[in-house]
Amino acid sequence: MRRRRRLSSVLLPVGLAGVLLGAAACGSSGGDSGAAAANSENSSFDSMTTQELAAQAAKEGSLTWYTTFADDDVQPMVAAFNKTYPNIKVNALRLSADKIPQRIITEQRGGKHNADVVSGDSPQVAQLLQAGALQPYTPKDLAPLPGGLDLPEGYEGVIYIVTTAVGYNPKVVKQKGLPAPTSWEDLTNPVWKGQFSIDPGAVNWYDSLVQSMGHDKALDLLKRLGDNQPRFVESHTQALTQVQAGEPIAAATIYGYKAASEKKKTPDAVEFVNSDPLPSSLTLVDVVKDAPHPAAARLFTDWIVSKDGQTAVVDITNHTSIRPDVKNDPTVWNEQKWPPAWGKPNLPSAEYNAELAEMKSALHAP
Amino acid sequence: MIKLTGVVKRYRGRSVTANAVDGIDLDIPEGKLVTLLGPSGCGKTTTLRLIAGLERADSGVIEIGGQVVSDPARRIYVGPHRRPIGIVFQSYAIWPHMTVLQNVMFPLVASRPRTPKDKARPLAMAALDSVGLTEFADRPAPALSGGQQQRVALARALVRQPKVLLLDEPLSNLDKGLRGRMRDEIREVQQRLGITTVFVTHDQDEALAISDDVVVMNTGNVVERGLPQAIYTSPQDEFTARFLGLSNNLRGVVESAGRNGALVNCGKRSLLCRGLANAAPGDEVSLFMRPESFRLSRRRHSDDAWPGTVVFSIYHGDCWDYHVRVDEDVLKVRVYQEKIGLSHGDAVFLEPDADSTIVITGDRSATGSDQPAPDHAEV
Amino acid sequence: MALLVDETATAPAEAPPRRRDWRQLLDPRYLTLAVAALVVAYLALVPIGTMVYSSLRTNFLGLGPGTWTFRNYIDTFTSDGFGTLVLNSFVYAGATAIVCTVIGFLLAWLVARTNTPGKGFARVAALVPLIVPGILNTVAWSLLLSPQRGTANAGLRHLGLPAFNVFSLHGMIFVQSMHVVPIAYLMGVAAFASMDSSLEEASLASGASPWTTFRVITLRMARPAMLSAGLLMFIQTISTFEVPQLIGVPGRRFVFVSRIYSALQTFPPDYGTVGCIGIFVLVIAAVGLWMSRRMSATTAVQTITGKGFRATGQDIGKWRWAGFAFFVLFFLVAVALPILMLIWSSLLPGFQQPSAEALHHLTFSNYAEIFRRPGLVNSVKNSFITAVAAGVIVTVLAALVAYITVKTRLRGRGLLDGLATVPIAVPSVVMGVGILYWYLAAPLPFHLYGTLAILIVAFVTITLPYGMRYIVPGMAQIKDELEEAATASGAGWWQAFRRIFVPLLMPSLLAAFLYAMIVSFREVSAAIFLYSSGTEVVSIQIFDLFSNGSYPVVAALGVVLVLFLSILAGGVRLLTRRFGIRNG
Repeated sequence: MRRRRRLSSVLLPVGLAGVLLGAAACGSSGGDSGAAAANSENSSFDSMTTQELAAQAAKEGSLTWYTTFADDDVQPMVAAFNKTYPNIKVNALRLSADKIPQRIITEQRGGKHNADVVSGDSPQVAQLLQAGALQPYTPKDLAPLPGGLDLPEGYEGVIYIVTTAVGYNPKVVKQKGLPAPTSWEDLTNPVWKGQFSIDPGAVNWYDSLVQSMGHDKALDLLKRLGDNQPRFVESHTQALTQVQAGEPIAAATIYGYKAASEKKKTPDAVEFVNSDPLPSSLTLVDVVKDAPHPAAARLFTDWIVSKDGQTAVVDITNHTSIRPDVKNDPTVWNEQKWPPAWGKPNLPSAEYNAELAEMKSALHAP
Repeated sequence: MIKLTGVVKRYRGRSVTANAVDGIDLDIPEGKLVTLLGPSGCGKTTTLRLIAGLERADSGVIEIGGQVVSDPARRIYVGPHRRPIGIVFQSYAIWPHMTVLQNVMFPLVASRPRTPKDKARPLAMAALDSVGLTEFADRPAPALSGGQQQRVALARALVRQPKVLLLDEPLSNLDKGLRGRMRDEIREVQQRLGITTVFVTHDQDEALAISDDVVVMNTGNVVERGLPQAIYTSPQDEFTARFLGLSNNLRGVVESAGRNGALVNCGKRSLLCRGLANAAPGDEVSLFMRPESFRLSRRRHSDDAWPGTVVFSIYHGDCWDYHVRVDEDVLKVRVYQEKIGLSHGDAVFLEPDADSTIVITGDRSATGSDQPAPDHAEV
Repeated sequence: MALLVDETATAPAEAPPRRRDWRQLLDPRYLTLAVAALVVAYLALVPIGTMVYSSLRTNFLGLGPGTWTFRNYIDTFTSDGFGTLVLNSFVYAGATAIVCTVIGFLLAWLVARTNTPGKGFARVAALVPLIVPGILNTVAWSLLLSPQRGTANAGLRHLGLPAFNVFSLHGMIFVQSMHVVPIAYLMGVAAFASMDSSLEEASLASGASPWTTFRVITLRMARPAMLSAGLLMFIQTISTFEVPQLIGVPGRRFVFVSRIYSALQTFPPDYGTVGCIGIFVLVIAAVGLWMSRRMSATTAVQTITGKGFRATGQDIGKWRWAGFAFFVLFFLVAVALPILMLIWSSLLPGFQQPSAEALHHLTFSNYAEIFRRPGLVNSVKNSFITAVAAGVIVTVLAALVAYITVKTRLRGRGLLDGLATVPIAVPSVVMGVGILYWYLAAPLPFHLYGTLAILIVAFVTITLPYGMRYIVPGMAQIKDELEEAATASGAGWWQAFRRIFVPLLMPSLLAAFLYAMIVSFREVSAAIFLYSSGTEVVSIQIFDLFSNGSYPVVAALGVVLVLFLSILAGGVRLLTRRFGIRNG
């Protein structure tokens, strides 16, 4: 009857979708990239000289870079790279740090290999490392890691250092008759109740505290901060904007380099203070496994950790380089004045999740 | 009871501004049923809505029962809810979320001064009784048929015993059989209650059947007004003549005029028109002959008879309609009580009736519109 | 003209026996409808299927193998504070739904049914809040109404009124309501434009005052539409993220979406929890939709027949100035304040609250900076392409599905309607993940990942439910005879659809198109999972700048976007004025 035929016409797509979904589910659970033969290729790339790499990369023609660099900074960086290597087109994909592991791993599971080079906050890059999504490669002009820090061989590329500082609005602080904060300890003072913001997901900062003052003390500090009713904010831009607006007057977790550049714009409204020790975290750069443009990937990685590349990084972004032969912004980084408190660069994801949960519960965040 | 003086309503269109109602004067006496008749766009509905207060006039005075309800010049405007009116709409406008009784009670309980529910209910039931719908009182309104809904609308319009009853093409949504019955019912109720009524329609049969007075309108103006018989048999304006009735229209020139009437020459024939008084030879006139005003026979009975040929015939049961070709014209002729019909090709002779021929001299047509006489006026 | 046929109604002719053969399948009507149904079902099932699947698996998109489990449900529903989460979410969404439906329908009534002056202005103003990107709108309000230093609060204090702390539940309700009023407004306009005004005129003529008429007749007639709109607003509010994240979290009022976001922060992301919460919202939505359908089934449907239907304005006399004042108030609060705040922010190098002193620092450098950004032109182009494509596809699909739902008796059309509507309940985050997963994992013959097409798919899925809400009521108003007349005149089905339905539906089609286009421009939380190098869209740029750039620059970009979209929307309106019948 007409009725039944029409019924099937609607059930059919439903059933079809269900079947497809199930098939995909079964099919993808074992999704591997099966590129065992690529291993020998990789070692051949690893042993190429810079000229050979450059020639090969020019043949490859382009390169895809997944990065957490601010959008404003990406193009100048690419331009700086192209000054030395003009024949390679760099397609940059800007992602926020927490999206990077998801994206790359999901792509790989789906058999799509888009990324050649990835750079991002160390907790997230470490997650990629632990998931086996990266290709070990030692760049040619690699600067040694700062003392005490440890990363597996082939995964030691550092693109810059990020520091966390306390920011505040000096004008409004004075108006309110409050003493200017100098450390997180100050912010636990009851006069600061509800007057400062904090990022409840800033695991790299918390980890630095844990490494420098020990787990229990760090957790205790966080609990006392949490009891002082901070306002939660996840975007660093928003945190600084709020400081500029004067409400809340202080921000507990802003990046030093950002505060420094905003301070230049509105000196009356932004001030920041580096503490001793200064929570610092590495931002890493690595080659991605099964990169479609292996030579270009290595060439780019080499360049970006070299003196040229690092100078470009500091000039363009105001970040801090680990290279001793590159000049950093002295208001942001000064190893003598503010000895760094390093977070663990290769933080195991279980520890990451645990620290995240601790932070959230200590601060009473969702 | 209702008086309009120089009422103008402008229509603001996208590209053109025209007058929907162009300065009309209208006087509707108490207790009479006056019909506003005309083609679509003539302003009859607008006029009704102006009387109701659903539209605001741009200028002119409207009075109901001696009270001025609208006068823009003096900034007087009484809203529809404060006018002593009842309306029946073309679409019935029965509220679907209420029962029949609630619909009819609504004017009593929703207007000021409020009638308390226990008093309103018997009044509403009485109104329903007058339209014969008491057993439907508690049905949800949408459950009724079109004709029943129309009767509910009528009961609702009358429940407050308004001074004026306004009906906006109330029958056009009903099927033919029902139309006639509802039409008669409305007239019967109106006469029984003696309520002043304005009835808007484009259907001449309705207008002629129930009106005390017919007002013919076109393009925002009143063309002509009179008793139904007068309008029908001796319209003064060419537009009226065209609009009412299935007329044959011929143009002619007056040959000579005398005490018996004028001899009008139209093409190859002449005919005597008794109704024409002040005609001068050479005047151009428009002749309108009703189909039933011809005498049709198979033999020539007089010298003035026109010879013709039947080209088309229709049987209606009570009469025959013939289309008869006379020279270049095709005339429509209606013959009652004819036992044996004529058919295509038969030769006949037509004698027009000198008394009932409607003659309108060239400059009397008020609007000069070239509208062809419609068979049934369009919606 | 009476001919040789007698005038009584003829008996209906015997329908010729249907030939049940395969040729029927090629009938254009059947084909078109089947394709539309297939597409819609597919679009809806991808994210929902993913949600169901992820909620029942451990380790979805994780590092190791996963297993089937109910643990996710148990853990989520028994977790700490889940009850508060539910309560907050319901209060937030419920209050928002009520507030914005009331305001939206009031605006719609004033515009569509009364002679309030300034209607043209109100029509535009009512839609502008929709155009402002969600993030910027929320941040602007948080700066305006931050309890101590917000500009608007300073104004309130000046007037002797208490300050309004936006970081609170009522702050969330206020900001979200202002933001989504346009959606309720559009639904209200669709509802009122198809109400026969003789119902109200009959009431007036019966002696009921305009106010009584409004209360007893107008509101009652609009009730099904209001309930339906309220429900939609509820579901939508419960699954959007900007206000809960930017105002709720600082104000310590946590809702479902906050939980979803925190679940995504672990590594690997906890999709199990995300899926469970998504399913929870979906069930609520489904229940609500079913209830709303039952309620509207019991009231009569008004019809456009072509005979006696009027949708004219009602004269409300002196009250129209109150209506006008309402327009102005709404414009000032919902439109002017946040946009002015945005403009202000965009003209400063570093943000400062408005003050006389700050006037010295005004500059256009932020605008210059945006226009210098190399990716901007490309992302505008991408946004434009995806938004227009999504708009067209949604309008076409929604019209066809509305036809199936309203005009045919096919079985399963209720299911199809449900499928087309249900994506509203899927939080956009889940939508993004679902689509990403599907297009990477499924063995499909086409590769959408990394192209604009995948963004279009997401935008279409997200906005289709709204398109349906605008078109279905319009379709229901059109009497069957109008189509039958066309077919009897020899027009094929496709011709009839094009020449009869499309012009009559033009206002609804336009509403659907504009909505889909504007929301696609703004959509970010699903797009974030789907963009690739070269397919960034403007909303991603805004989000980027917001997380990592400088606020004045992102404000400048926002202002430019609002301007651009307003012009676009105006252009679309002007263009379609030439087609279709005019309404109200």
